[in-house]
Amino acid sequence: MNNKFDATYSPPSHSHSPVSLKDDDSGDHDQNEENSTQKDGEKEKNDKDKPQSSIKRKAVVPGPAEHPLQYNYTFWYSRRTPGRPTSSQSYEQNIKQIGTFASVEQFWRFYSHMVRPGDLTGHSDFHLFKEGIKPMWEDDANKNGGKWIIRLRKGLASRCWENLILAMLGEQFMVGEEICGAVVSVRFQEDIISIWNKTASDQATTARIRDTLRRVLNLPPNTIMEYKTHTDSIKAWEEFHGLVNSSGR
Amino acid sequence: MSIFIFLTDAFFTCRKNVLLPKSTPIDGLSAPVGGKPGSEEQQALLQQWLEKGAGGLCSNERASEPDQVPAISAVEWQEGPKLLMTSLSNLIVSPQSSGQEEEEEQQLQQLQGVPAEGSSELQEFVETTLASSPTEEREDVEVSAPWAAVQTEGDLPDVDAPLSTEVWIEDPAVLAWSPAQETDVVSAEGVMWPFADAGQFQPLPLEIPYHEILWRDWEDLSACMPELNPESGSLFEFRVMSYNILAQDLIEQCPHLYMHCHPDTLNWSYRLANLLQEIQHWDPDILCLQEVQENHYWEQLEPTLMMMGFTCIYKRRTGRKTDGCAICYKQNKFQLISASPVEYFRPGLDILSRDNVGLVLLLQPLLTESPGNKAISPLCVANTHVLYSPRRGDIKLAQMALLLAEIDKIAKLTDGSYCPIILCGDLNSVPDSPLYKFIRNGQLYYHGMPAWKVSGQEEFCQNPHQRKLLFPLWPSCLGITDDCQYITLCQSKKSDRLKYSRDFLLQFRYCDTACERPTDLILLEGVTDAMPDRPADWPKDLTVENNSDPELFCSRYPGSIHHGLTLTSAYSHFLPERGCPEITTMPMGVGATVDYIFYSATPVKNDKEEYRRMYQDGALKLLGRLSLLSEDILWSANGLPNPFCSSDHLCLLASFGLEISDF
Repeated sequence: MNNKFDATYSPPSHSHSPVSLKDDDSGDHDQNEENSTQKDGEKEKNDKDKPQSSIKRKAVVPGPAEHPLQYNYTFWYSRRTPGRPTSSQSYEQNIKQIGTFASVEQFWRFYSHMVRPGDLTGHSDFHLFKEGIKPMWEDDANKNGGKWIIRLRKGLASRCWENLILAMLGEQFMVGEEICGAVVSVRFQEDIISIWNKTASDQATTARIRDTLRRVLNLPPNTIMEYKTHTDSIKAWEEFHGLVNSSGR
Repeated sequence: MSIFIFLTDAFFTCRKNVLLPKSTPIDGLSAPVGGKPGSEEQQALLQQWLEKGAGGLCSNERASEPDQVPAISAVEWQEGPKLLMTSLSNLIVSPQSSGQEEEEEQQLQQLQGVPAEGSSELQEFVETTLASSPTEEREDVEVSAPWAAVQTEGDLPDVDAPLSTEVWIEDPAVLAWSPAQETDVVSAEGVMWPFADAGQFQPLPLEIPYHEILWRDWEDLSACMPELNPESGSLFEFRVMSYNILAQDLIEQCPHLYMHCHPDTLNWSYRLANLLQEIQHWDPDILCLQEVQENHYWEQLEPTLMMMGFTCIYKRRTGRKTDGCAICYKQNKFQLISASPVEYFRPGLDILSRDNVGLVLLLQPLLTESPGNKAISPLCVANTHVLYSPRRGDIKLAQMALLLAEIDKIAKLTDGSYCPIILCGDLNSVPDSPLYKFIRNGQLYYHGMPAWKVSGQEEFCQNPHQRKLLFPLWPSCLGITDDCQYITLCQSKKSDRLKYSRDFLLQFRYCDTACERPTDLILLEGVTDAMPDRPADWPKDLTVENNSDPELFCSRYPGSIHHGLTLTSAYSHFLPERGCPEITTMPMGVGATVDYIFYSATPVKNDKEEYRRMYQDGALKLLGRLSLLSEDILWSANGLPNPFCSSDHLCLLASFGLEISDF
């Protein structure tokens, strides 16, 4: 446990090192990074993860007469406990898998039993990622990727989140396999939604994602959208924590 | 070419002189009685005209077929002179004329003076045709009689009243610009145009030398085209005319707009003859007409134009509108590949709530000589009449977008480039207005723009509304991207993915499966403890089809629209010699260019490209054009329509050459 949080909070191990803490399907997570959604701390998922998780879970498949989705997806929830996270907190306290679904009906089944993001309290996030991709920068699917970030004034998150994930599940982004997942982050003064894709350098893809976002979210034209590569997110996170560390000392 | 034009024009002018005998002053313009109208020379020309029929008028380059346009028989011209007076008397004592007897009497006297001064043959002709005119037609004309106009003047509809019909909103003028209390007697109306007699002409009293005032020069632009040497291959030459011919119904619905006109000049028979004559004179190979009234099209225009060698395609406006657009092409020069009408009305969309239309043709030019080793590209020809309403620039833009999308589809070649395009029409927007710039520069940032600014018709926008253009200008469900392309065309290929629209997904929200808590869902207070709350009226059955909306693939530019056609205007919109703007119409006495011939050209790179594109001719070369006129000239001709120009718009005419390539 301590190892895990050390890894999370210490830049070197964080950014590069495959410190192998690969207990379960986790990454390790902390929500207190600068502004964006979550970061995750940790390490690469290596090849062994997949077999492990597939062994762990039985395959989720659409039920009879249900409407299959192009991909299976997994809901995650994370919450930063009040005060600074400490190493005593377990990863499990910060991010939890809520469930995996394979059809439209199964999606609503989970979604309907989850509170809407606007009703979440505290500093928390919902993540919806393709099954097999962890909501963390270092996942193989994410390591060369990035995300579009949209900051929302309070009151908009529930509707925007719903529209965002419906567009993702309905394959509306038209960027092939590029989409990894989406995140809604409830913060003190604003909420943030973001969508992650695999290849940050693919401008055609990122432009198309942006345009689709504008459309499906029905954003006012002056809405500021920011694209951030995960590499930059990691750097910023490191700097932020470097500062925190130095000032904290 | 120019000499030919000059000669035919001289003939045209001369003939006009003959056919417009002089007498009644119009609208206070003093018109001293000139010399004997029926000089021998003129009569000879007239006779020649009548004998040969319209086909003999202007063409020495085409085989004209006089038989196709039968001349009036000489016998008809000799018939009795009494009917004219009878008809006039009948009209004058008609009940509508109450209260204006005095002036009418005066007018009558003037009219009665006509026989003494005018050519007797022409008189007789009027009488003849009057005698044969069916009553139905006469009733039509009576509606447009000047007293009718005066009567309605008191209760002019409020332009801004919500109940204003589209007639008021769309008509090229909202208020009469000539306040003259015209009380002329209607005369010589009710003439049924026998369409078989194309080229026949109604005599009308007039004294103003319209043909001199309204003289239009042919501008030969081929001289300033140095690269047009033999080496660059030959050109397929053709002439394109765009002409808003003023639907008769619109005159009759808004007579107050035409109070400056002598009623006889508004008579459809008179106008038809004049319009046909003008078309015949300029002899276009492609004719794009706007405001073509449907009954006139089928009964007169189409049969006559067919005899002139045209194949005609017509698209009536939607709803209850009686007019529409037509494209006619010479069948010895072009072969039709496809014809696509475009309706701008889309139910439920405010931005496309008007009944305007467009028409897009793909034509194959026919090469006469050695077609075996020559090749020529097809030509896309589009014609439209965009909404008038100055306040609704948003609608105008959306209508243009629909037309551009159709052109994009029709003109796109397999390699993604476009065949040469000619876009004609009455766009109800002035040069350098945002709409004009959009067509010419290929892009427009519209977000936040007041709707009334789009067309630049600011002087007609008496009550600018606060409506602003906002993103998105039209909804994605229209199926048109912000690049003015159909969505199905902009998606590269069909995806085999499982796509679901938002609406489709939402209908499963409270399905039975969804309402049942997942057994493996851990309970987190405040996170996973929500309960689905199925509304009582939740439909169990699926109502939304998953049409996997093609719209959903289209990307939108926030606040701007674009198109990929590179179009520039055949006209410069300015008369350098006179130092003033050229105009194509003058609603309310204010001259403006609203009619255009755009054509494909090659953009030239320049530093200021983002502001205004520069073009040079590509495969399609502009060889010449018929000059337009200035506002003061049209003022001196008492505006439009007038006895010489029978529409409230001038026609546009341009000559093009399309490159022929060798195999």
